[in-house]
Amino acid sequence: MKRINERSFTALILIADAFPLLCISGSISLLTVLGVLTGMAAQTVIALPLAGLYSSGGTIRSGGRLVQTVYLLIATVWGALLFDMLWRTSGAVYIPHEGSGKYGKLLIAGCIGAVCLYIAVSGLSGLARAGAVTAVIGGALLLELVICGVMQGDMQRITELHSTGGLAEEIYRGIALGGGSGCLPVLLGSVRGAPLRSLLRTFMSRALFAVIFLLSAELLAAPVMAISDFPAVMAAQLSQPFPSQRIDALFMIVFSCIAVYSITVQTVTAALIAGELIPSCKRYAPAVILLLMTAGAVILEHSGSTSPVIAGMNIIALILLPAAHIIRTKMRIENA
Amino acid sequence: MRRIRGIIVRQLLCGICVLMLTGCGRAGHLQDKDILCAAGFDGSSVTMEFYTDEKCLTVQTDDISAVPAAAGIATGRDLLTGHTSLIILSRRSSMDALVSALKEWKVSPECIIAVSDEQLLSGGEAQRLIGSVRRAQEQQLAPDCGIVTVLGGLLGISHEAEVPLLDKNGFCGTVLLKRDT
Amino acid sequence: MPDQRPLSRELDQNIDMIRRLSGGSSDVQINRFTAGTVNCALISCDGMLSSQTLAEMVLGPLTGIPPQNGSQELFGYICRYTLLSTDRPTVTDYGTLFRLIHSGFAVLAADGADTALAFGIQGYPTRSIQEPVGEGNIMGSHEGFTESLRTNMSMLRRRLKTPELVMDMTCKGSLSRTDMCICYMKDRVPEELLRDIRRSLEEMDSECILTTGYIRPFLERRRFELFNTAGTTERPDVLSSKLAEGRVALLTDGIPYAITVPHLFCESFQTLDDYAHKPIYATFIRWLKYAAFIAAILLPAVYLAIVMYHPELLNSTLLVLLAEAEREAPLSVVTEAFFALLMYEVIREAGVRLPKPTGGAVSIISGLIIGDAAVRSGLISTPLLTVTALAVLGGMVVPELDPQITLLRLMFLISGSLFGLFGISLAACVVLSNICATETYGFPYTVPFSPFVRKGMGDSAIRTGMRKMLVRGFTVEDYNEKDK
Repeated sequence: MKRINERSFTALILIADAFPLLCISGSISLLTVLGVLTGMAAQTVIALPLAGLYSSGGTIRSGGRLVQTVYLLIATVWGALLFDMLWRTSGAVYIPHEGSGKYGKLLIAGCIGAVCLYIAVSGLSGLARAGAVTAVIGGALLLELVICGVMQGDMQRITELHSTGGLAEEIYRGIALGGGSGCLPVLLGSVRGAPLRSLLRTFMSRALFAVIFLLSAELLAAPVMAISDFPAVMAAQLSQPFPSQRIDALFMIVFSCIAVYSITVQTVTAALIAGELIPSCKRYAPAVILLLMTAGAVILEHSGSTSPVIAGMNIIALILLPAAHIIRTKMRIENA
Repeated sequence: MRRIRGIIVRQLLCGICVLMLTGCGRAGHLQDKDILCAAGFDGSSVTMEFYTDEKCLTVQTDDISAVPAAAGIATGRDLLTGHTSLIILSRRSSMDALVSALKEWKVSPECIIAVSDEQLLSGGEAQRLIGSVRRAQEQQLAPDCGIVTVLGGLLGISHEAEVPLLDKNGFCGTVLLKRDT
Repeated sequence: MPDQRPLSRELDQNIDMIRRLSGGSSDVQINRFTAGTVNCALISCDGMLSSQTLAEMVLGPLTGIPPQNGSQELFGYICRYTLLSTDRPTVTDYGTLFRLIHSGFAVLAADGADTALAFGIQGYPTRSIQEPVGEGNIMGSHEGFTESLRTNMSMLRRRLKTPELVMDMTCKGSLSRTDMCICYMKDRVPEELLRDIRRSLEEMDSECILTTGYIRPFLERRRFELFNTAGTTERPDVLSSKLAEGRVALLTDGIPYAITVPHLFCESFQTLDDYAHKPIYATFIRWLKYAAFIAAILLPAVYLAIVMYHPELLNSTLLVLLAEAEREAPLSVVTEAFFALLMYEVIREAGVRLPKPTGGAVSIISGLIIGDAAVRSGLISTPLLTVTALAVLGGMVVPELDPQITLLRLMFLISGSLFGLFGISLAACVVLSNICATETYGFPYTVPFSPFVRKGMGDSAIRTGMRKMLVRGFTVEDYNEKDK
């Protein structure tokens, strides 16, 4: 597997996290921020054995083929979820042709899928470098949101915001927003440098990014949170730094780029595993995976809220590899 | 075989691009669109003034989201609503109109919301009314009445928002707009 | 394939063979004479050497040699007592003989010797050193490379008077037998880079080497890459600075450009003038170039996307203005945009290919007739023409990337017209991915931006002060990602 540096790894995971955050739906409040922080802390603790495994020379193969298949499934399901999020949000984000019904949706999915396929075929190092650039552009958007939020936002209003669920629901939601959790165990194996340091740095960055983003979105969208289908998108629409010049459509550029790279990260993760499991299909793996993701998105389109399920999937992704490795080692010792 | 497949794929892609580009002919005519400047909504009809035309248009509808389609049929041109600078409501207007304006018309957050008891839009009046409200705001006679601020007040704890009151002479005071129950 | 057959000891046989192999070519001259009582022949190519030098420096001394006891003694005497030329390779086969006489050497063959002596007395006409046409400069040298390899080597040597500069000659092209020179600084060039480049050149299997385009594909990867990873330069001062950073350069006889490897994206925005100005101004100019590059490829597409799909991005005054301007245009804005850009490309190409006397007519036709008349007649709207002109001007700031800018501009235009800003974003993702995946011999094309190398930012994102730059001890090896 090609090696990427720590910064690129962090950027890739952040991008995988960024798109679900951009597409967050339903009301958000300070409780949501607390839920995200708690969820991130829990994930960090749960992921420590994973870092230990990689530090001691383990790889993704250490869990066996069944575990690799589970990771393949998780990455594919995440890709399908991302496509579904894209379809849901496309109307709010000015994407042309989204109003053309199923034809429009397929067209959008087809275009994004084609671009994702091209990027995935270019290789992990190319993706890592491009991901770092996209992360910087995303950072610029975040900075703009923060500045506008501080200048225009109503600090008092955010304390009045209420979430629809309690802390437990918000923790599930926080964990479910972590798009990077599913691919982190696979990509950690390709990082140059200490796995533990990479892991901790990545989780800290994820937490910081999520908190700053959610707080900024709340500050901007607080007055109209009750009618916002997608608070982050609404926040971007309302963050107008110049009174006589609208720039909200530019948000769509960042949105599209992050969508593409988010889906590509999942595709590359799945393709890496598929290539290990079935070497003869390595060439076609990205295309097949993207098709499966699109099909999965069509199925998921009509499903309801799945936060607990996705949260569970993310937790399993972080814990499965070290747990399987321990079990296999114990069984080997017993058989020996 | 691979070479032939590559040639076929490339030709298909070019063909699709060309076909799709031919359909862009209609989308490219900016002059065939009316740009909405101000709209007056009294609950049963919507009166509109445009940047590109001195005339005024009234359509009978109680659903603000149906206005672009109805206006398109009436004028034979597409309606661009993103530049709406002024929305005048009656005292009994529903908050839904504002929600639709923000989400479906995608108006700017700076779009002024005002209330009037009369039909004020009659061709060329919109700019004068907008200027009147802005001057009143500068003199601190009128409150901040951007659509987001007004919606924020209606959705907030108090369920009301202070907005300018307009008559044929322009700004003439403020009124409390209440969220309909 | 060059003829590897060895020379014969019989002078007459050699002469017959030379005549046969050259097909009786009239520019191959064979002068028979006696030197030191040994029958000799001087073989040369008409027009390739200086007749005066030949007569004074070669024939004269040769005919004055005292009697010798055979060809070996004759050659020994020449080598010890009459230098005749500083460049004196020995010829053992017909292939080398022809390559040398076609390179301006005179070859002395003697009866009884199966080798011949060659004397470098080149005198073919070459272009004098002139200002480079493609790389303008205000405050630096105004010398550019010429078609003569030896002249180019001397220009380089004058700027790097160090024994660390190595110039390694080689010969490529089965028909052209073109002399090439691999230049590098032996104390700072990455060994693996040099080895890989030599291997790539060995794989080169061309018949002729006429431009850099015959060589570059062999130094780049086979994968489709938008940007060139082997750069070119017409300036010896620029080449010297690249060699000092540990790069490898290729000088080729007959081509007034040097090829440098590796070539990075940020180098296209660096000029020697940057180092003549204060850092703050140089940084401003550099950022201006980056902005101009982005504007050159994106401006027409963004204009199109906004007008067609996202008019809310424009303020109302501008929107009304554009609507008024488009009112008279019978064509869709997409067609106008393509028409304007393609017309520019036609005019540009005509300007390059036309003979100089008719160049002025192109300016009149393009400026007055097409520009002014097209707008007056309503074929193209003024805002669109303005946007196209700005984009074109932006591209001229980075002439090295002109082909890429042209293609990318069209690509973004198509994607913008199909899907608006969404399409532009997708195209940007594709381009970004392509450019980030581009690498050559382990050097990523987008370094030091991505992967981020802090040390390199001082001469790419900004231009730090010269004192700081001189002490940073930078070589291109800092960017190598291979084996990491």
